[in-house]
Amino acid sequence: MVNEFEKQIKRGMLDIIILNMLTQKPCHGYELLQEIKRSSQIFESLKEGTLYPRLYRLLDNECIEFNLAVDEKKSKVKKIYNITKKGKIQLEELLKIWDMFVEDMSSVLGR
Amino acid sequence: MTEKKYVRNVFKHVMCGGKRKKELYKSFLELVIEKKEEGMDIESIISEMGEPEEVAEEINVYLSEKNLLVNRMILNVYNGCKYANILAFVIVILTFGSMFVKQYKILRFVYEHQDASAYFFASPLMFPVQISGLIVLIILIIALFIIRSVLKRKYMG
Repeated sequence: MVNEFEKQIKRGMLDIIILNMLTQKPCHGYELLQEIKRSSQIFESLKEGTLYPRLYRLLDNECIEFNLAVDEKKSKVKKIYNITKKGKIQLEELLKIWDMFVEDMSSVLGR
Repeated sequence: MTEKKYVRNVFKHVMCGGKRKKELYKSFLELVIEKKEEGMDIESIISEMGEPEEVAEEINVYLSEKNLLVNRMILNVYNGCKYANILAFVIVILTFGSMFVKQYKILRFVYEHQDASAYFFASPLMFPVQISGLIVLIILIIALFIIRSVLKRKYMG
């Protein structure tokens, strides 16, 4: 149960973190993974297999979009993810909900 | 284990139908192949991507959230059809009512003035707009009813 709870919380957090990082600059998937791992202790061991399904979900919800860009060093096409207007609005809403939850849980649990 | 076998192992645990599964399989295989081309061995690929069961679990969560979204959309379409159907039905009744009242007035005028030429105006040709509108509305009601029945049978079983 603890494990499942942790996974669910992490999924929600990951959506917020991805949207927040993409407001700063557009990134490709691997770059995003490295940024998240670097900046968060909780996601130190984040796997690509966890990140990509979250990216697909945000793409389906039109919160993010991608452009194809050519990586000249490797002569490959890469997907560069970017946040959409809808994504920015969603991020604002999610942050409000997050703040509300943190505040409420602190007061309920007395911590 | 090869990269293809790894992706196959992931998708052994993924619960979804043909086309969607193929699309996801293809995009995951591309990711894994890209890593191999960058010189990573399969152990490093697994440590970057995650164990097959773990990855499959995340894909299954994504798919269930997607289904939830689709179900919500279907419910919205179903309700939209329902309300449009009611609205169209009310308009049909009102149009019929107004036509009936008009027809009654004309017939009364003909009866009172004994003017045979007025029969022409009392014919349905007097209401071409209303009649074509009614036909369109009736077709719309039937179409909406069929859409609702199909949605109900297919998704709300």
